[in-house]
Order: sequence, then structure tokens, then C-alpha cells
Amino acid sequence: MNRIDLSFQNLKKRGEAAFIPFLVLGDPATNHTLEIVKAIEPYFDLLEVGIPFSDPLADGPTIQEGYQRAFASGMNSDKAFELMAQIRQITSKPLIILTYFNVILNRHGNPATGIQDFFNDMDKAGVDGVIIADLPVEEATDVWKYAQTLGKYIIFLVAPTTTPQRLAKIHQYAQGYLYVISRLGVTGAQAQLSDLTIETIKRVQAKEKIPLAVGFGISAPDHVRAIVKAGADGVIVGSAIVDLIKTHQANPSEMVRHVEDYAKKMKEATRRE
Amino acid sequence: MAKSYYGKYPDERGKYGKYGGRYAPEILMPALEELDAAFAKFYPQQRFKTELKQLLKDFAGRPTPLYFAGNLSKRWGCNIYLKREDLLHGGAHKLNNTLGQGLLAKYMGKTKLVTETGAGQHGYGTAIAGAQLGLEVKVFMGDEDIKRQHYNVYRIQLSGAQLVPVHSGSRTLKDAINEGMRYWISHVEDTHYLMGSVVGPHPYPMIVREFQRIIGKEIKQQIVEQAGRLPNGIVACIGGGSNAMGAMYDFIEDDVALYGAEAAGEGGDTGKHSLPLTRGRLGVLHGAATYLLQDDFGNIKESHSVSAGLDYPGVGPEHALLKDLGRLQVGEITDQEALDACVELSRVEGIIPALESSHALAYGKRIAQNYHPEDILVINVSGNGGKDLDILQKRLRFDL
Repeated sequence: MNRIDLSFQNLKKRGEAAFIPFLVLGDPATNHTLEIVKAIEPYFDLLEVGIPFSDPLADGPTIQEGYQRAFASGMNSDKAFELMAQIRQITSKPLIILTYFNVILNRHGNPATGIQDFFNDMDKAGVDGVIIADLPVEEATDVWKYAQTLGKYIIFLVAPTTTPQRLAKIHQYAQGYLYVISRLGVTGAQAQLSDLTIETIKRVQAKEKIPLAVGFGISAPDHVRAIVKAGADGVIVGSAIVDLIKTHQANPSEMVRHVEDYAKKMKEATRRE
Repeated sequence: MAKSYYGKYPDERGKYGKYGGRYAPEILMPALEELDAAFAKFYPQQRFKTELKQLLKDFAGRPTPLYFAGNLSKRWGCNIYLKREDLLHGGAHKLNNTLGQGLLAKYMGKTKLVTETGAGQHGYGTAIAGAQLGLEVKVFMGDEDIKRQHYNVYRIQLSGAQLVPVHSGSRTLKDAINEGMRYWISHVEDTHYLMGSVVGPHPYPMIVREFQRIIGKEIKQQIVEQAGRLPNGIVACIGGGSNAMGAMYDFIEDDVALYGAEAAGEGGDTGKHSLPLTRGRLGVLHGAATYLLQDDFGNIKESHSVSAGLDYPGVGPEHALLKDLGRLQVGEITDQEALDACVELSRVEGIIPALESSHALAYGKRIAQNYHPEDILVINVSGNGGKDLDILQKRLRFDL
């Protein structure tokens, strides 16, 4: 069984939602990524990790800067897979890649074999699934086929703009969980949760039996509680963590401690009252 | 020639063979589907066609002349005709597309246009369309391009559009597209993204091609009127490739050679160029599969060219297909060759071409050597060089 399914089953039994942090691999350096993962391992239920891409058009400034710091530390897809294999030694929880399609298609610089190679590398590194920010369900059939042969999941996104027809199409291919985009916009932390978020959760939920994890703009325990109350099965938190890393990068031990405290606080908010 | 080409591309998934498609974030997919449906609905309507035709004629100045360049013909050894898109309102071919898409946006009930620009011509074209059609306009432009094309920055602002400088990445066209798309993701409900070239997710490459086809349709009619037959070849520059697609599309099934000039920058072997068709590899950027400049890990490389409008690491998906089919021949033209061609046309014919179009002229000069005196080449002068005077002054060191 894929670790992702197992994780959501166990959370359901415990009456908790999933806390899913997102880290950019190699931001600001590979050893820091490892230290942060070690520190927050007790608090996350699943972990999303980003392989940086040069032109991340679905991401806001915070994640873009995270990618830039990772590139500056020499990150690329070869090093990303090495790092993910090391992360796999630290945790037995689900590990999911977030990246853009060209990083997959041009794995090893060869679009003829890239997709297959990427999934083989995922398998070797013990990665359970992949989110591809610019690959809608219509273009995903090739990728989905390779994923199936290795038992890996493609995690699809749904947006507030997704029509019922598209939702039905996405549901045919969706496995693991659905990444519910909370608002119209790119990634980035915000102070207030929009009404659209709750509305979208309700709308998607009515149709789907697959777990729903909500992301984009979630930064505070209050947001988490509201989203869990609305019926979501998990929260994805990226920019708020990448912001902490940016703020404290000059002092790595402080940086790790801040991210750890934050993760602990956010995880507590996922426990249903 | 490519018989039975028409009607096949794009297919129902927006593909041109293995190129094109719709590699867009889910949040944009409904908007792209809406645009596709709106284009299919309004574009064939007589009311839309009449309104656009009127705008292109009375406001933009179509048809543009096809000019027999006698002096150039003598020097280059065959008959050279220039398609004068530089005489279109706005100073380049861009208005064909911006008026078309602007009108489409209006028919769709959108109130705002957002776009990217490299050389500033498309940004200016969009600002003109916005002013003319009563739509609010926001233009994203890279810092680097703002510096080298500041006249167009002023034109954009003077026309009432808001210019947004882009500081990310290489601070050129590709980054302006990223930022424009990001803005669109957040404002998708009342805003139309007015793509400036035959790039991006389906249906953009098709829509832009259809609005730019007027160039080739006019060439076909004008050359038959003036010379009594079709040309031997058509030459155009290719950045994203909208002027080339517009000039060439209606000749794909004819016995006419198609020549595209890519920007070789400092030279094809220096790594400082914009040569996705000749030196790139299949990849996905800005919503489409096409030839791209990229590293071994799928990250997009920065392109280089003296001409901002050709400074782009990708190319239209249909150009990629036409190259693979052997239908499109691609030439590498360096910065220096383009500058020389710009000077030559200015001095010999009294036409100062844009640096983009100068690449087409330099390629035309090169291939003219393979033709006989009675043969005919049509070169698309896609834009006017007025916007490039600073660069020309710097590179050519005019003395007072």
C-alpha cells in the first residue's frame, strides 16, 4: 500500500487532519534541509519537497526566492534525489515531490526517457508521489502510466475555478489526496483566509471521496482550525515556512528552532476538538 | 511543400505533432477552455469579422504595402520584395494580433487586458488596442528590456497603460511572461491575457496565428498583382515567431520556400544566443511543448540577442513542427550580421528596420546568393527601427 493512503487512514482513526509542510530542497543548503526535516519529523504527517525550476509560474515571490537560494547552493534534480534518499533514512512518513513538468520531462537531459527515468529515481529514493504544478489532467496520461507501474501517485490540484466537468475528469486519475488550491492566486502566505477557501472545500468535498489537503496562503493555526472544521483532511503549508527560513538563514540553529516551533504549533491545530 | 497540412494543426488537444498542448496550472485551465470556446464562437461571426476588418483598415492602416526594393535587388542579385509591416500603426505587425484579441476580449465581456512585452512593441500594441477599445491595460516588462527599449516604455505609458517592471530571473521577456501569467492567475475572472506571440498554452498559438495570417494573405494577393506569380521564398525573423507564422502560413501548401531567421547573438557556438530551433531541445515552458534552450536538468537557459524581441529561449510550437517536417529552413543570424543589414537597408532603400526584422534581411541577403536574377524573395519587415536608435547609436558609434 502507498504510504500516502496509510497515513490518511491512520489520521482518520486518530481524528486528526494531516499537517503537510513544504520545503524547497537545498534551501538554503542541503544540510539545512536535513536538519529541518529531523527537527520537524515528529510533527508532520506527510512531507512535500520542491525540486527547484527556473521558471516557476505558479509560485509567488517567497517560493521563487527559496528556489533561487537552492540554485545558489548548487541544487539540481540529481542532487535533489540524493537528498530525498537521505530524507527517507530519517522518516518513514510519505514523501511527495512538488515540481514543474520540464524537470521531469528533461530528467538526465533527455526528453525521450525523462519521464521513465524520473519515476525510477523516485522509486529508488523512496518517494511516494509527485505534484506537477503545470501538468493538468489532460496532459498527464503518459506520466500517470509510468507512475502506475511503480505504485507512485500523481497528486492533482483543484482550484476555485475548476468546473464540475473538470473535477469529474480529475477524479478519474486522482490518487492519494487532492491538493485543493484555497484561492485565486499563486503560492504565498496571507493573514486572512478567504471565504472562497471554505466554499471550495465544500464544493469539492461533495463530489469526492479522496482526502482533501488545502494549500496556498495558510500560515496560522486559526487557518488550520477553520479549514479542518470545514471538512478538509489536511493542510499544506509552504510559504510561511520558507519565509521563516529566509528570515533566519544567517543563524542556522535559530532557523531550525523557529521552523520546529512553528511546525509543532501548526500540528496541534490539526487535532479535531 | 507540405500537401494536406491545413486543418490538421492544432489537433483537438492543441498539439502540433508532439509540440504545443496546454501545460498550464489547473487554476488557468477553465479560462483557457473559455477562451477556446469564445474564439470558436466569435471569430467566424460576420459582425466580429467586419468590426476587426474596419479597425485594421481605418485605424491601423491595412493593407500594408508590398514594396519592390529595386536597389536592394540589384545588390543582392534577385528580386527582393519587402512586406512593410513597419508601416502599420504602432510601428510593427503587433497590432494585427492586439486588435484581434482585444476585440475578442471585449466580446467575451472582459474589462481588462494583461500582457508581457520584450521589445515593447507588443506592449505598445496592447496599450493602443486598450485605448481604442476602452479596456484597462497592464503590461509586464523586464528591467533589462525597459533599459534598452525605453521609447516604447514611454509610448506604453502615454497610451494610458500601466507598466509593471519585472525584476525576477533574467529580467527579460520570459520573466515578463511568468509575471504576467502570475497576475492572470490572480485576476482570471475579469481579465484577458493578451499573448503577444504564437507561444503559450493552447489556444494562444492558434489564435495569434489566425490574427497574424493577414500578412501572408496580403502578400499572396499583392505579389500576384505585381509580379504575376508566387514568390520563390519568404523570409521572416523568428523570436516567438508571430510575424513569421503570419507571413508564411498561407504558403505552407504552395511551392514556396520558407526561411526563418533565428538570433545567433554573439554566435551559435558562444552559448550567448537565442537559437532554440537549431540548438535547443524538446521541453515545456509557458504552457507549451517546444524547442527550448535548457540545461541538463530541464532548467531554462537565458537567451541573448541584440534584439529584445528575439531574446527568448523558446519558440512557437508550430515552428517546431514545420522545422521537423523539413518545411521551414532556419538560419542563424548574429548580432553583427543583423546590424549590418539594418545599416544596408537604411542606406540603400531609406528604410530603417527594427533589429528583429534586420535578422530577416540578413538571412535574405545570405540566401539570395542561391537564387537567379528572375527569382523572387519576399522579406517581412516586421517592424520599424525607431525603437532601436539608442542601441544603433551605441553599436555603430555615429559621430556628430
